[in-house]
Amino acid sequence: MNESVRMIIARQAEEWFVANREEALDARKSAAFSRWLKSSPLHVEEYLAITQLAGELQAARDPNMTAEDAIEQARHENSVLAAPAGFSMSGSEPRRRAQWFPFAAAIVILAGLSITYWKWEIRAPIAQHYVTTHGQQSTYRLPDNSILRLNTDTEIVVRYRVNERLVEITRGQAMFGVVHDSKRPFRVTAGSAEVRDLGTEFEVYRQTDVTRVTVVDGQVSVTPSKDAAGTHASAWNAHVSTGEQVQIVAGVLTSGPEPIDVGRSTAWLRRQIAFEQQPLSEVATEFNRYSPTPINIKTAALRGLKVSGVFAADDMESFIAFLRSLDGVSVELTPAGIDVRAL
Amino acid sequence: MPEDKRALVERLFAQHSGALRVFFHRRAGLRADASALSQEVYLRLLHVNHIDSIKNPEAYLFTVASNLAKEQKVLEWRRGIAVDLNDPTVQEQLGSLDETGSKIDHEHRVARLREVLGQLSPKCRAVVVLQYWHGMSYEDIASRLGISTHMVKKYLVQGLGLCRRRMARME
Repeated sequence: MNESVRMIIARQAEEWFVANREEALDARKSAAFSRWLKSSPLHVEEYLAITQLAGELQAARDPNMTAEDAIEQARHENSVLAAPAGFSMSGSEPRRRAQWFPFAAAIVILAGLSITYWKWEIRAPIAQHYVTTHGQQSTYRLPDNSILRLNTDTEIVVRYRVNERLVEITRGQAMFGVVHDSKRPFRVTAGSAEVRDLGTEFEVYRQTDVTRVTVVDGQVSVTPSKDAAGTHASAWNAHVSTGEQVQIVAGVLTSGPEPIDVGRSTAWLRRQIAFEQQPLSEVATEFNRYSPTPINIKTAALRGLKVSGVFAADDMESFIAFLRSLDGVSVELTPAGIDVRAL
Repeated sequence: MPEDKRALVERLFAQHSGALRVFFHRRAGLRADASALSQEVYLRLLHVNHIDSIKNPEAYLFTVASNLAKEQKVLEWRRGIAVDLNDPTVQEQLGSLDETGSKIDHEHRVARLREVLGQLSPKCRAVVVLQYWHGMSYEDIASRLGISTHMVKKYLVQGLGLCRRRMARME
């Protein structure tokens, strides 16, 4: 599961596109293709994009290359389906660049503010608060040029001292792009977990009981926080590397470090909600983090219904349309929220 | 019969490619715009009652997408100045409005695609070239290259995927 959700969907789009060019799909395949298109707006976007690419390929025709030339060249190759040089499905390079793009944009926007922060640092250690409200996301550049990106409903306290940089996540989810400084460690506390940066880009999500740490690039060391360490005799220290995730409950390491789909975990950076075969109840909870009108699943049996898709976090309309397209599901809009029931 | 249907799709594909190009010129330029447009296409797909019974979902998708791209163009035009949309001169201008901007971008991408094609393995490139430049059917390609149609499809998916990833890096 090293590919991002978008990569997987793009690959499926290519396969459907190639199948559609062969001959008209039979009724069964045609219905399957319809279902695939209806999975999410991203499926539609990727299919249209591959259509566009095929159109450009036709336009790139070299009139000097005949069919015979192409066949002749192919004869000189052995019959093995070889991956061309440089072919890599993991493709970490472009993805990393894509993930840094919002940060780069934020640096440009926030460069003007850095003088203000610099003045603030002189007066440190003053606790600096960063807060986002329901549905809001914000990006900040810290005095040491590290980047802080907050997701919806998040509160963070930053204390920079001469010998350390302390960040506390009071609630919510944040992404850190840390400038490494061995003389001044970067430490993040979130619930019962403490994360120490070893030069990196990572995300911390503090839920009510669970704290989740995901490393996009580099390595961090995770330990129980001081508060949690007081109540638990056994100390531990987990090294989490690129593409890995750990979960901590009450100061205990409950899962990981294990490889996960970083693209899905950090989909919020692109203001997307991505889910693959996840229960409807979890997906609804994710949408409710952003939306002013909550989704309420009224029929208990629907909570476990497995769904897949990628939606813009603020595009509730598409998600409602998606829910309505599911067999045996009805959606009703009430003043209190969006009620989902079995038909 | 399948041949007829295939020809129909090819014709639809050719008809709509201009509108789709305008559509995805936005994707390259302003990613958020393309995503918003895709969401709109998606919503329209879902609002059809019996989409599962539609014989050719792909042709339907192209129609919805290109209609939307055209509507979008009209909307943008309206935002600028009040014009009479029935005026033939305005109609003509609408037709070429976005083409100028997307044309440079398009030529740039096509030139880059030629380079990327050169990086494919010879067999993969041959399959892509025979399909997209010479319009040969999968069966014809298979028999000319002495491979199965299954392998032809595999090479096409591989070729499209590599082109897409390499082109994405320049966006």
